[in-house]
Amino acid sequence: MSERDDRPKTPDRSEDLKDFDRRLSEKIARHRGKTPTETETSNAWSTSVRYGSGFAGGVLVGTGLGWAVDRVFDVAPWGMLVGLILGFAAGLRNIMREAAAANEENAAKAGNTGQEAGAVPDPDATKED
Amino acid sequence: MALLETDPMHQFVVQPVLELPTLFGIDLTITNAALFMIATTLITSFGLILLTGRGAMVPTRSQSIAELLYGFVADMVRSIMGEEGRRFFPYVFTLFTFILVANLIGMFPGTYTITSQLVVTFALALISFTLVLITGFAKNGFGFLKLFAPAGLPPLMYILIIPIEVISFLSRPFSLAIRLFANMMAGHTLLKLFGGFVLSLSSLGAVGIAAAVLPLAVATAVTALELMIAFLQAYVFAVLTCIYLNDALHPTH
Repeated sequence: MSERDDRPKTPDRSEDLKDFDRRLSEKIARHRGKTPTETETSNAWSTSVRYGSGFAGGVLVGTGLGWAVDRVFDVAPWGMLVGLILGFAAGLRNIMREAAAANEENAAKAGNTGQEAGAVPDPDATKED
Repeated sequence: MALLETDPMHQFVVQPVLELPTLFGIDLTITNAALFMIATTLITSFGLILLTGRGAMVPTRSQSIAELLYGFVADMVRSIMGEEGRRFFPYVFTLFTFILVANLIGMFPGTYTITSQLVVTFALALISFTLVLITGFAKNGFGFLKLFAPAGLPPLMYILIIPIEVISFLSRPFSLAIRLFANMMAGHTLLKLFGGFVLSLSSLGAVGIAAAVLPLAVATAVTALELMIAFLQAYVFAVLTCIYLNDALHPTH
């Protein structure tokens, strides 16, 4: 619903409504301008489930597809073997994607708090504390 | 007997509540899981209808709860998908409120947490995934398949990369489902486990009761954590659905 309703209004209140329309449109425009930053508050458990579920999903689907290929084309055990390996790779790809997102989030956080917007917090920084 | 009372996994058993006949090959028996799914749907719908019923210009306290919820999801949808994503708002809002209410209902003692069942979360994830597929192909046609072939690779690499990307894509509903299910099940098992410690320790007499304070404190802390996770996981599920839908809208990146 990006367009405002332009149907004619009842004449007696048209000025009122025009004003209301104007203010509403302004408000909507301002509202669309801002983009809230989204962060997933991370605790150790939810982080581990995030990576774990991504990896498990990849391996499960890869192996499952391999098994299906075995059944359909009768090439056992090669479909499942290749599927497992590809699923492994896909699982790692999922983890890498999650890690990249986490890195971006960290960088955004560091930028917000006025630190250098490095990709990952410097491991040496904790040692100095 | 004492073991049965404190069995932390007992809470996840699906039991029939109301036996109904089989109709057209579908067993209509209401189980505790089905009962709480119906309850979640009813509470969500009627709750929101009641909260927003009067639709006052200056919202009352109850109305602003509903408006906060609406604004929260609307902001999320817009920040991830932009203006194009507005048409998915009803779906994302339904998904978010359903999971949130289901998780929160599960926090009451004696209730059944339906999101701790893999089949429930997987069904939800499959709905999201199907929507992503439909959107992707409807919007981009076969251009949607570009999602599987990242640009700028040597041609030989595509033989390896495309299957990996396809599997990675297909694994999305699984990881969505596992994530919600694992969080909810682990949390509730932990709660029951510490609750069980309190029970068995306090049956040991005065020393046991004194020692039972420790697991009781942990159980209290875990309850607070669980409330946060109940909200967070509903949020994560909705956010990931938005991200996947955004991928379907703009497959090249």
